[in-house]
Amino acid sequence: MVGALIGFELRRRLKLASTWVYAAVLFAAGFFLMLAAGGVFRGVAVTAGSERVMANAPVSLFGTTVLVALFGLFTVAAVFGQAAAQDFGQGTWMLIFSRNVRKGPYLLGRFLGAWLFSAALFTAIGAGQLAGTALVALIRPESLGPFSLVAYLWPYPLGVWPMLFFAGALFFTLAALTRHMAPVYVGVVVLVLGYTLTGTLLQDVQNLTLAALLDPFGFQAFSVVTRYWTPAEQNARLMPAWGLLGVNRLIWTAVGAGLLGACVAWFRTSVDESGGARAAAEPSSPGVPYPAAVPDPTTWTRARAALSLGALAFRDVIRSPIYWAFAVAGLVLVGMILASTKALYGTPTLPVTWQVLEGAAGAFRLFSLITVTFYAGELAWRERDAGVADIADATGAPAWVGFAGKLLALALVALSLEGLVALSALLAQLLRGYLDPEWSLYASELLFLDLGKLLLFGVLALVVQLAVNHKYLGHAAMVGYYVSAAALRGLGVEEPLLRYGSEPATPYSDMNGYGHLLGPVLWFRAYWWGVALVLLGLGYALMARGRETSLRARWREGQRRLTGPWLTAMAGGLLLAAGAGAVIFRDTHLVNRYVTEKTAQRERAEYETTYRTWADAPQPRITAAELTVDLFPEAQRLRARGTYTLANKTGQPVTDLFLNLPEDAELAVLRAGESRTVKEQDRRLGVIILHLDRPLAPGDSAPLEYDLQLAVRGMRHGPPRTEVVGNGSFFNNLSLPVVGYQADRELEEDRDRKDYGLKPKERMAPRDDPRELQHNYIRADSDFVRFAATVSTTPDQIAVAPGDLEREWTEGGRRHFRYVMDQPILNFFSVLSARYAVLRDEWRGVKLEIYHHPSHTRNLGRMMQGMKDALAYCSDHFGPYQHRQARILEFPRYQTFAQSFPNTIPYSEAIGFIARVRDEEPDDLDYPYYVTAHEIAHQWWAHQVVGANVRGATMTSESMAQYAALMVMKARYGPERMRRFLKFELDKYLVGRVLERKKELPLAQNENQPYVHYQKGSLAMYALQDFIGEERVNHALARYLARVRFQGPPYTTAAELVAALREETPPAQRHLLEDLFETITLWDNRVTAATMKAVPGGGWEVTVKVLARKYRSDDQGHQTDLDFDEPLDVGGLDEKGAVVCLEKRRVKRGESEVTFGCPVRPAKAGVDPVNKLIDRDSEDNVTAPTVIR
Amino acid sequence: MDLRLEGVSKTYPNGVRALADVTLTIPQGMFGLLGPNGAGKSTLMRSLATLQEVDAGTMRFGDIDIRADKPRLREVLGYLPQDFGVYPKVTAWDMLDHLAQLKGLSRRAERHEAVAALLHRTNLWEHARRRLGGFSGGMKQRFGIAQALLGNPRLLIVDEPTAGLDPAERFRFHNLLAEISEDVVVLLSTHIVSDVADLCQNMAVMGQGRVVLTGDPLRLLETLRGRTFKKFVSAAELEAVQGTHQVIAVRRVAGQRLVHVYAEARPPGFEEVEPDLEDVYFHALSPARA
Repeated sequence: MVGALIGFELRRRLKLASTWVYAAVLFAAGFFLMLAAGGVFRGVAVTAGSERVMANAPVSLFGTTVLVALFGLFTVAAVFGQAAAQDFGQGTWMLIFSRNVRKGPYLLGRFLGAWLFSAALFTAIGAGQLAGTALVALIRPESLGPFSLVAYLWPYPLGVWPMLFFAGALFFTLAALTRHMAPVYVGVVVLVLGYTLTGTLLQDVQNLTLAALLDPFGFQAFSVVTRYWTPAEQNARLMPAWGLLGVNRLIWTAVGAGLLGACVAWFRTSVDESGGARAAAEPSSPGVPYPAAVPDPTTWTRARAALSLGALAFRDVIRSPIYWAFAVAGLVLVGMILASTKALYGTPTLPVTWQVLEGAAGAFRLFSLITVTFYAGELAWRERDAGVADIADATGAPAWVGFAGKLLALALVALSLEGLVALSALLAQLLRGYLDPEWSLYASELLFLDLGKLLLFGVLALVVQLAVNHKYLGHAAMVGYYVSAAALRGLGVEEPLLRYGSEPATPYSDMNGYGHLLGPVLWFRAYWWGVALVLLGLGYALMARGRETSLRARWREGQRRLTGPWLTAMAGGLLLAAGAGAVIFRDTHLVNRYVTEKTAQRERAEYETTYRTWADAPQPRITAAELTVDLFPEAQRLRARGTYTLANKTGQPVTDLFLNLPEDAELAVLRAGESRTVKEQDRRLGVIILHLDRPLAPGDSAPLEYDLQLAVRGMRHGPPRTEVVGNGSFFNNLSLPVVGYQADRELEEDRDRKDYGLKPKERMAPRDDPRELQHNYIRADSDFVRFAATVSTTPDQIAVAPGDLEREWTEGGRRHFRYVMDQPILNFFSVLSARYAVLRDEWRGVKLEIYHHPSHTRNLGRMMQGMKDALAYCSDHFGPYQHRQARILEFPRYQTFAQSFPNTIPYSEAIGFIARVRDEEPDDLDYPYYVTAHEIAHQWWAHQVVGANVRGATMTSESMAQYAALMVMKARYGPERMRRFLKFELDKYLVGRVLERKKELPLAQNENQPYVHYQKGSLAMYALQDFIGEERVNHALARYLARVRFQGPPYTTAAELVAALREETPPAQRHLLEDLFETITLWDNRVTAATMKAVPGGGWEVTVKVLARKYRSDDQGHQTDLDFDEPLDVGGLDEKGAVVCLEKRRVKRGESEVTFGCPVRPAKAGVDPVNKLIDRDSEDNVTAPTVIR
Repeated sequence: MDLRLEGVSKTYPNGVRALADVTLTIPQGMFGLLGPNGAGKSTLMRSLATLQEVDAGTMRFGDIDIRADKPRLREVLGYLPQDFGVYPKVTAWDMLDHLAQLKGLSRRAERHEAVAALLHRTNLWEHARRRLGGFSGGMKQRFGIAQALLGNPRLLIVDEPTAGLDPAERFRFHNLLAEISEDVVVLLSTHIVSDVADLCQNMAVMGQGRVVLTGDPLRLLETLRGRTFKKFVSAAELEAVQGTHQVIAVRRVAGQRLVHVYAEARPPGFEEVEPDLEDVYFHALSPARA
């Protein structure tokens, strides 16, 4: 019987058109994703992703196949559901169960039929990938690695088929037990969205294994297993069938089997007819007269009817379990996300209103869209689905009553969803003790921004339903629309006027509110609501009434419906859309330049091809900067007038000055000495070449005067300008003239360069490149400069630039500040202005100031302490602090970083200021303190020591700042807390090297690669000070710093820094310098067994069997094994993971046995137990020892 | 106010000719429309209820041109479709009140009064606060009747109204219809001949989209009186009879075949029988006549 059922199911499915449609869709998905991965669309759009991983790498194939299959579940949900429910849906159950059918084989046969069918169907993805590969091989063979058929098939037994088994079992069981399809659809939505959101668990490195096992689809397990795979491994290795992925597959297959078991156990082969109401004796009541009321409608009462229609329909919606399934699933996931959102290093932020609302609304958005789209269909079909249409359509109510009722009900559904978001956000705030929610933000974020947008999509979905007049085709059309809208962007169509409902982002800032970012959104809303009005008119006209439902009949009838008011409204909508659209178009295309990602890329190439020759032209250096900056926050405008002193430090005369300026800077004056002849000006690329009437002779100096304005001029495509805003302007001097050809504007990736006919290039010059040694890596056109600035702003704001505040005065209703630097600084400065409150303190005569938003006071103490501790540590160990003041300045969350300018640290409101560090929580990391310490350390490592523009430069700044911050943190919080921090650093480094787009380089050779200079920098420096001692490291750094402090050309390099470290490193440890700084070295240390026995007189003797390995990796991740015999940590940990004993013992390559003593009984013991070395599997370093007697 | 149809025709896109040149005049009072399944009754009724377009012909109710001015007709229309559903989660009261609103009963007190009265008259008052999802077939049918009577319609179109009603309910429904039908046009389609016999002053029989017979039931009975004869036959005899006589209908009575034939004079072996409306109906539809 099982076989017969399977055969029946397969034969039936083969004959269905939908089968072939599904297969075509899956095939297309595989095909196009392969083309995209192979870079076939690069002609029109910017391709994401590393060029080092081949399009047909086994890991890529596995990932894509499983991901497509995941979304393919939407198609097979129906297959499994119908296999279980169709006998009930079609009433054939009586025929089947009146025979003597056993339910076990019946259900199993039905299920297996559906599963085998789906398993076969999904091979279409692989077929699509194969076809895509063939095409890629013709067009871009360089993006393919060696072909291996196994790599295309491997995802099925390990990924797709078990996934289908579990998900299928779930859908099948839902349908079999409820006998309806609706729970299945809800199930698939919840499952797929739930999966995509469980990715948030991965934010904390401690949850990786948990996430890998919890994900029913195995995709997270796949991600976790391959998390640290280098490109070389990704290109070559198949997914291992054992390990996390295998365990995950077993667990969920077992769960699937359990579900099927439950299904068989609880399945009933009978059907309870719903008991009709049968009143015993129904007294006739002829006494009541037949009512005489006759219709007497007015427009007003018709409107009331529409209202009550909407209310009635909405009541039905919120009574339906489907709505609550969506809502509850959404809420649970929103709750999970809000609870697990961690800003930095697994430490939460305060649940401030804007953040909680953005989190909740963002997480709920997909649910909202799906729910609204779904109910647009339900409401469009409400009367017809219930069989009430004939009655309702024959009543005297005009068509608009029904139309308005549906629209109203849909709006109420949308509103109720926003209510749920509000509720979950509020709960998230209250449960975490945040008792001061900003209600006005609730209203603006949810009721205006979110609801307004959701309604736009609701209107679209409803109109599509009414126009298509077929519920499932309507849904399919909407899904098609959402997919194509996403695909359009991928194909480089960025024009927002063409993508329904699109609008610029409106991040809310405590400091600046919505600021000038709200205006553009209002224009876009006007435009889209104009469009929506026209759509509504069309939907109204095409709404079916009665039985004549052909498009022609509906349109004939619809023309009659479009009476004066409707046509007026539609015309109004058209006008609104045309007007607002014209304004937007003018702003984004004519007033501002319309620059797509692709245009920007092309222009970088043009910059290089046009001006490359200038790279060799002699250009002067900036030696002094004097400027006046007038900020007009209310107009988002600034005027900068200033003089750079240019000195010709080359041996040749300078005849032309090559200057870079922002393309939208309005230049009033540009003069070098007396020369104002513009030889060439390229507004698009932001280049001006000024001819010097009298060449600047070697050794001579001349002033470069400029007077320019930067302003927000209406709306612009792409990210908005946020330098000057209502409150919280933050502007740096990269927007002022920059001298000389800028090599960092060139395209970086070789495959991009190839597209524009450019030769491959290195990101940075080698460490001994004589030319680049003449430049520092921060500003090639300047050495250390003298600096003074006058800044002015509105009277209620404080404007700050680096230097001593020499004078403050009010003039012409504006507040002026004069800042003067008493010694040369890097030509890298910022101007900030806001309505600040200021916290002041002092440390050894240095004035400390924190300029902050008045309400952001929570972490000021931590930041102030960070300043003091870092100043003290760096002064005591490296050398004196060069300034008389240190300032932290808060700026709005348009950017999320802190940055160190001379004595000035702009610090985003979104990081330290709203951090929620709980002292009682050992896992929380005091990152306001840590970030502050890092930035203060930059005053030494960047502003005193600045590296040449060659490889390894950032090791002398970023890695040293990391090191100083780590030491400051270690002193305050102890080494135990550092372990958690370093665990994050290790993960970020290992992930960073996988995401590397070009090539990984050793720390002392790194090409400004953040995962190397921050994360690996932390790990390497921490390990070094652990192995050779903090004192030695600091001594080396102090000597190095004394040698190169404020050193101009030739600038220092990481080679010098490593040499200084080498001088202090005992010979036995010198291999570390090689391993940590000069090569990419990874350890794979593991303990294979551990025993311990009590020592008479106290303590334990622990013996661990160690398997030690050390690898060296090339820049693509090819590894070679190293032989070694060197000291490593061995030791034990207690239950909480705290160190109970630790010592350095020599360990050699391969297996060995080490015995060491421990004063207390360790819960775990092993090698490198606290992960000081870079080890891709840091879990297997320790194990629980067994006790022997 | 009467309902006049002239030359009404309708062909479905699949080629089925649902209405073929239907011409009828339906005066005030009850009018019964008889016909087998697929005869075009429902198409005709839906067209009259403004839910469907016809291809040709005119349909007027009083001074209302139904094809051109649907909204005006809907103001005076009560319609009970053959198949209809309800919102299962809504109570009878709420749904009826809702439909009353759609019909334009705008004054709340008056509307509630009407809703209450109709629930009483259809014996649903007891169940007014219950959800319609729990209603039995008969209760649902009565609910349908109640909604059709909302708003004091001048034209009442009821498609198979007594389907699913038990005899007592059917009887009450007949009374209700009889009570209101005096100054109203009631068009009742049915395949239960006795409904027409009991209620209607006028009737028509439709077959294959055409009106094959129209008139006053009593007068139509007259036309068959003295020309209807019956005989019990065996299977073999039946074949012979069908070959030689104009058979009206064959029924089974107490397990035997009873054949009615139409003849100008009593055929041998047959005996005269008092014709009933069913004979009229079957005779009208019999292929020999057509």
